[in-house]
Amino acid sequence: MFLRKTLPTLIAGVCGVVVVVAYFFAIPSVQTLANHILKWQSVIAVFALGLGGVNIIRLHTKNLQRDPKNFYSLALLVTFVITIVVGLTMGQTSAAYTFIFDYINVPTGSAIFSLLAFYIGTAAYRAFRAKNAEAAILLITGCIVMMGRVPIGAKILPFTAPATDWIMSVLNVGGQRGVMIAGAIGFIAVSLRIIVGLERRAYGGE
Amino acid sequence: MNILEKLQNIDKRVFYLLMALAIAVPTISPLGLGVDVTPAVQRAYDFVSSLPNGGRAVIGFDYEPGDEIDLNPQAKAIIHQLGSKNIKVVAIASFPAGAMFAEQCLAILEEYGYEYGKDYVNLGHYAGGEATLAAFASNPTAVFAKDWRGYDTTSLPIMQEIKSMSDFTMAMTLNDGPTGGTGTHEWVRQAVMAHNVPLIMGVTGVLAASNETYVQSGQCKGILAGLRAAAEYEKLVDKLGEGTVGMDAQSMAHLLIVIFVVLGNAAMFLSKRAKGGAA
Repeated sequence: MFLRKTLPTLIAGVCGVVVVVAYFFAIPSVQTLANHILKWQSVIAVFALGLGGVNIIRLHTKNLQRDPKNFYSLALLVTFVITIVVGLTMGQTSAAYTFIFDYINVPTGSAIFSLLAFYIGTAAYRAFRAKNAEAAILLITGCIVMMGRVPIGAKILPFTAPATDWIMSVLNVGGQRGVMIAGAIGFIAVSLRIIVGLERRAYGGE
Repeated sequence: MNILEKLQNIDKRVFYLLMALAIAVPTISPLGLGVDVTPAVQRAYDFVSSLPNGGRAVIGFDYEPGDEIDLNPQAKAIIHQLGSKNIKVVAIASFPAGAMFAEQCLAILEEYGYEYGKDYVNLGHYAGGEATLAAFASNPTAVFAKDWRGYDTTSLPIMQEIKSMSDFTMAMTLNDGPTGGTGTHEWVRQAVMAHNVPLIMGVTGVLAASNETYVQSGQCKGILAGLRAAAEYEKLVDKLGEGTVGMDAQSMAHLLIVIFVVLGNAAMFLSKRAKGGAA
């Protein structure tokens, strides 16, 4: 109980208070302590990264055990191992590692992202129907912004460029500010709950 | 099924084919539509222009391969401007891939006579998001003992000049969102609010909406949004490149989507009217 609940709560509480105090007050001893905590945090984050890697290997190894013809898991494991071996033995600035990044990682990442153009396009075509006033406003605004964001829009419909600027800087900012302020208040509330030990879910509890 | 119903239910394979053509044709054979510089991009450019020559900039390469198409051209365009002003550059990355992009983009500085370690450095990837950025802001070499190329950072002349975030003349984040890396909000908190370092942002098109608030509040000196901003910046620094070429394809893709949306709605209205008339 102490190791699973009380100790993590105490550590989180002390770390939280020290870092918050160091941010708002120029007390050298507290700021030094806060810097140490932040460095520890980055070390722990690296462990989390390693844990993620181990988890991926476990998951896809299980997938392969269940179905030896699972080509995707096999491809992931093979490329995972090759990339790690090349990175560790030849270095991350080596030609081989750069080749993997430039000619496999970047093109595949971009290709997956570019599929959005197709999916979002068809989704917009099917979903953007002016069935009521609200949908019509959304539809018209979306079309204006889409045209105003590209050079051809300004050439075909010149009013879309200034209209887009106005939509983004007036209508959009008003809504975004509300979302951000509400989000920040929620963030502060959750942080306070973690610091005082009320947010048990942060430690894996219910 | 009559023509109006068909227009409301066009086979998605037809759309996919047309979209592929709309992107491929202008990429292979650019249309040369050209871009006009928008006030947001002009603001960012003017801000960098107003910095004293020989200053120091920290750039966060906070993006992954999926968003490279938007953010690499932005990075390259702005690095040209920094190079022309002899501003020293320190690159950090909250994604592992970011360090590789930094390496590609910073190579531009060699054209301006920059020397690695003295005028620019790629510190590489850091884990831990905002907390590590905060630690970097207090003591950069404590977080990055070695740079991306494996050099001891305390031995690099550029890092000997930098004791904290406050030693930078400007900060910039090239950012594809907070998921997994350091987001724009974190940069505002750690660079602007904690150390009063002016910040500019380069973000993907979809992130422009949520970050526009920082521009209006003055916490961000300028924002570049998407490939369009890259094309505009390329025009401003007179180095036309990937951004300018990509805008033709993006123009045609946007136009195609709008045409389809308009067609679908027009068919829906006409169909309703026809049914009303028949009734």
